[in-house]
Amino acid sequence: MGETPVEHAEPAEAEPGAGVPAPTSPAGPAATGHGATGHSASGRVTRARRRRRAVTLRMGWRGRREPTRADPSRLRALDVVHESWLELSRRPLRTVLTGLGVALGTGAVIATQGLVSTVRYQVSDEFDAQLATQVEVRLRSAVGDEPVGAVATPDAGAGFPPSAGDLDRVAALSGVEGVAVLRDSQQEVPVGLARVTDRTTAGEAAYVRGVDAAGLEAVGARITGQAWSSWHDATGQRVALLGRRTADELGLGEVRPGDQVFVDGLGFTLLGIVEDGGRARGLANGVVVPATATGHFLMSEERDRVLVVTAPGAAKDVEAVLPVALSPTDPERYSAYSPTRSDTLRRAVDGSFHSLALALGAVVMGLGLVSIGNATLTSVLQRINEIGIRRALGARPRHIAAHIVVDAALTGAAGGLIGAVGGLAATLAVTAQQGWQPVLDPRLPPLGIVAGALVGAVAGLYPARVGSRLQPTEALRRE
Amino acid sequence: MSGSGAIVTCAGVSKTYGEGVARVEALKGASFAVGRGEQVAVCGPSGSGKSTLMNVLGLLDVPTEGSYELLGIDVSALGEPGRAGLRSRVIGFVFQSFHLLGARSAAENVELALLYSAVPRRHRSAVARETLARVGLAHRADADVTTLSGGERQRVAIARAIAHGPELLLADEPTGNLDTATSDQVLSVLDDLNTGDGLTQIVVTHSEALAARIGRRLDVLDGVVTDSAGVAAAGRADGG
Ligand SMILES: Nc1ncnc2c1ncn2[C@@H]1O[C@H](COP(=O)(O)OP(=O)(O)OP(=O)(O)O)[C@@H](O)[C@H]1O
Ligand SMILES: [Mg+2]
Repeated sequence: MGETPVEHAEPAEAEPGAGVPAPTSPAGPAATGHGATGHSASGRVTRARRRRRAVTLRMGWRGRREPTRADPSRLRALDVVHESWLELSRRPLRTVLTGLGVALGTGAVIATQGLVSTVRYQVSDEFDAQLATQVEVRLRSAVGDEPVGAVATPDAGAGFPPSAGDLDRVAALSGVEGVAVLRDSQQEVPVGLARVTDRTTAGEAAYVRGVDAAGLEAVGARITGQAWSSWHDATGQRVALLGRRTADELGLGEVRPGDQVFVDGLGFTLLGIVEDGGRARGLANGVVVPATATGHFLMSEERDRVLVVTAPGAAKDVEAVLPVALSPTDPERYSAYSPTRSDTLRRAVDGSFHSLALALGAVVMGLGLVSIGNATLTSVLQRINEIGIRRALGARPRHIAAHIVVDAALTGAAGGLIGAVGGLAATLAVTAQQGWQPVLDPRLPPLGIVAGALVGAVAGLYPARVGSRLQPTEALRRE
Repeated sequence: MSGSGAIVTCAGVSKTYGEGVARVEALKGASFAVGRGEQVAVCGPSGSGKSTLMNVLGLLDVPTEGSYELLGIDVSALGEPGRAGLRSRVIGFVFQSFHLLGARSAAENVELALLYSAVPRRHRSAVARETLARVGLAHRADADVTTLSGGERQRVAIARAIAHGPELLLADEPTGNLDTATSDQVLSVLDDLNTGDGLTQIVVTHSEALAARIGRRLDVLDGVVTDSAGVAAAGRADGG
């Protein structure tokens, strides 16, 4: 027997006429005796010898004599993979369905991750572009450094709004591109609409927002109709704009000449609608009047603020000098801050998004584990006869186990691959549709495939245990 | 067992299944030897223990008693790894129901014979094709086995049983599922392997005609193996 594998490996050198190597009588018995004695004497071959033989095998059986007959049968790792590949590739639909759980898990993680990174990039892009050019100033008393007066007396010289001269000083600072005075009422007040044609008056509750004419421009508010001018500011005219949301609530599509709003009982000439508040988003929600006309209402001192728009990168410098510019005699009265300081908060929010994505993925991967495990066990039970055949051909229980685990691992890897492709496709589809620049982590797809393989391998452990414990004769009896 | 030409040497081999009431003595103290190059027919009624004997000889099952030497190796001293090693190198099986793997080609089925000896795939493939040519199926090497006829399937199974160059071929009713004409084809392949290559064969058969063709005969009745050559027969030493 010792010689036969050599003949296999070198078919060209096989006996003439006999494609199938036959035992050669003279060599056979001698080798038999030798092999048997050698084996029982040494019991086990040394590791070194085994390794040398393994090399011999890979070299194609050349040279040295190969294992004695009673040495354990062996199965090369590459062959395990190839056998599984044959099995899985011939039944592609079953393989894909089995790996579907893993595909969904990987896809969910990759898509979520891709979208979160993209959105984060997008947000920080806008955020940085806009907020790094913005400084807000409030009364220090309103920020909480000093006790806040429970009731702010309207325009009672508490320092807000700052005088036109103070604001001019701010506007003259280098890097400042615009200044907006913004005020909000403490509470919503009744707002009604009076039109020349139908005289209907619908009642709604809305906040009163005070802003100056320069401020409307500085915050980049988008207005249909017309805005007021600094003349209105200076003279405290009763003119108003409606925020788009409030206009909708009042059933007002567009402003016509002669339209009036009644704000807490006071008539204001309606000039237009704030479609978009720009940097001051609140302007799109409420009644917007000149800051100088807010004396009629109870305003919230805490919300009074001056929003300064700066050139890119100038926000920090402006922030530093703003209190002095506004009130050279009492800079302590104001507190300035530029909102890029909320970076840490933003990062925390991102972090929780990521852990959410991972938790979601873990749950779905768990489902994938169960589905692969279940399908593999079913397949093992269906292939009991094959297990018997392989055992008869020399497979050891661990070889059977290896086949089953690798089957499951490759199925999982296939699922991971499908999930990675699907997840990337979903991310690209959404970002393309939103006109965003996709931000993808190139490590994720390969990681998804590896994770799928691992999940599959783990799922295959129990089926492998079942399959490898079958008795060959039992297994062969099952069709 | 002493003869260096002995492939199989059994002494008092018994196999008992189950316990108590369910206890079945499938094999009762079989003692016989099969020499190198012999062709032996195993005959007996259904349930007499023929398959049990083949499973023991083929190292798929472990006898409960007695000693079995294969090529002079005392297999009862071997663990499953060593027994699997012997199956992969020394033994070839042919089954009544072919036992081929579906969704694979004839050649791929034959290659399996060399899978568990760590033979590189290139070599396995070459050997599989040569062996298929030998059983007259070179033209069907790439056909899916499910598209083959019964006779062709059994010849593929024979090719798989001999591709690794075994020293003992065990065939359990190889023609049991075949009609007379295809049976003859299959049997002539087996005969060629025996006479041409000197491959030792033990063939279970229900067919008297086939048994008559084969020189030597082991009769199994109720687990007792009787050697027609009169070398050994032992039914008395049952169980106790
Ligand atoms: N795993 C087992 N457990 C219990 N009893 C068994 C088992 N295997 C075989 N037997 C019993 O052993 C006896 C011999 O069975 P075996 O399969 O060897 O018969 P056989 O001669 O091959 O029959 P057939 O010609 O029908 O194939 C039968 O009574 C059978 O029921
Ligand atoms: Mg039988």
